[in-house]
Amino acid sequence: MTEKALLIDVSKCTGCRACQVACKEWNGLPAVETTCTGTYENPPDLSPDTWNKIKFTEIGSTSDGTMRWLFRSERCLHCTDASCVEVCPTGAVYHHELGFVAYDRTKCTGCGYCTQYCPFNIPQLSGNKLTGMQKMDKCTFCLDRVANGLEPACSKACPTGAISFGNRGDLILKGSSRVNDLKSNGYSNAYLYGEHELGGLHTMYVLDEKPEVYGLPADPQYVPGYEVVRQDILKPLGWALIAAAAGGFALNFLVSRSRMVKAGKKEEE
Amino acid sequence: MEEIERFRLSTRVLHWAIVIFTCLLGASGLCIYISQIGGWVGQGGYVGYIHRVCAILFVLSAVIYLVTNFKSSIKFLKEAFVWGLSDLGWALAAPDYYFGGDPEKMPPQEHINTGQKLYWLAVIIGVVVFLVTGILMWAFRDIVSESVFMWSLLIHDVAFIGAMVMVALHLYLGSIHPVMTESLKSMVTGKASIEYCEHHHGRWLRHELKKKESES
Repeated sequence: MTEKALLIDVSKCTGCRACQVACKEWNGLPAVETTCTGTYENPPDLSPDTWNKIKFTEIGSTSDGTMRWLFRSERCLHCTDASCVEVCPTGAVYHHELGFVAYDRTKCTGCGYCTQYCPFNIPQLSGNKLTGMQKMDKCTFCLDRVANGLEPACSKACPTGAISFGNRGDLILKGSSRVNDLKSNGYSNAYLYGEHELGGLHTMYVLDEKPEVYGLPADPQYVPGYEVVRQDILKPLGWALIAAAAGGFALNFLVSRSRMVKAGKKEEE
Repeated sequence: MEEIERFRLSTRVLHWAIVIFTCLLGASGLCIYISQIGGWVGQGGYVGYIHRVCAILFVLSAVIYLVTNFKSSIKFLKEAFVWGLSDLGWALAAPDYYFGGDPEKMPPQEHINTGQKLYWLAVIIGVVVFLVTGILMWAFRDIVSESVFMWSLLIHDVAFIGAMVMVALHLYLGSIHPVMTESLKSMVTGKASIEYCEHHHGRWLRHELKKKESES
């Protein structure tokens, strides 16, 4: 099937947070009570009840000396090389056939490996840290809507057209042409983030500044060979050792038993 | 048949408590390790809870034993770290002995023989490794760096594989091996026959009998 994606053009974002509210509304997520910390950015971070939020950034010294106020909708980037999918021990986090990263909450054991290895710190654990009875939550790409031919709630709600939903290939073309426009308008750092990062992201950004300025890693890293060691070397080794031990014990039992019987017979004689 | 006490009641209670918690720890750990089981059992997130509770009970039972049996616990703990020439004697005789050879060729052993001492040492090291890596991943998850977490997980896994093999060995030698006729029984009833102890823990038996004589 054709891979779907979201393209978020931050140069068109006004920080209205309609997508943030639409996400909460559609997914039935309650509001979180927060305190004012001197910024419009609210809530301060993603949480199990906030899967999408606008990140506000102020930069005071641009090249032309003016001040800029930047907005970016922060949410799961739905990587192709997704660390969370790789490290999830129960297969609860998986790649949907449409390309994005979905998860089956009932399979989640709350181990939290996904929260450890996500290069963007997206997955959030809810529940009790002490007991470990936790569940992971994050942006679902509005799986229920998309699977039924609708667009995600965030792009539907966006009033400026900053968020568009569509076939990934089409969006790359759209994003690239927008980047060129921005560049010719003086935004020399304009960049289409997600075209190549981590095998291709399914949430792509048209950025008018460097990724770091927007709080995105310039070169996000996939989980290192660690999981390969665990899955491809450690697990088979464990099984092989147990099998070898079982075989060894059986052999030992037969040999020692027969020798003892023999020795016993000799004694009788 | 005359019998002699091998394990006191408190020691046996500790042993079987540890057995229960180890089984539960292993089973709940496997649920996270093996995706096929995990996906099925993971519902509700109880697996991690059971794992943590059992880890606490495991440590708690050991601590209670240590406090209530302080002297003998310290003596027993020390035992794992004292090695001598007599252990070499065991090592040389062991291959033949454990493959049904003449039991007379095995030098007389202490309360626990060299092999059991090795197992005991492995248990101590294993528990420390499990605890340190486990606590890092549990209580200090938000504090430690990603690589510390990664290594903790990897070491925890390696320790599990090692422990699984050691427990299998312990189970086999303790209850199935044809030479170890009264090992399991003594951990259940606390007693073993004098004859068995003569063959398996000769040095210890002589010492015990002397102690009894001097007492009476």
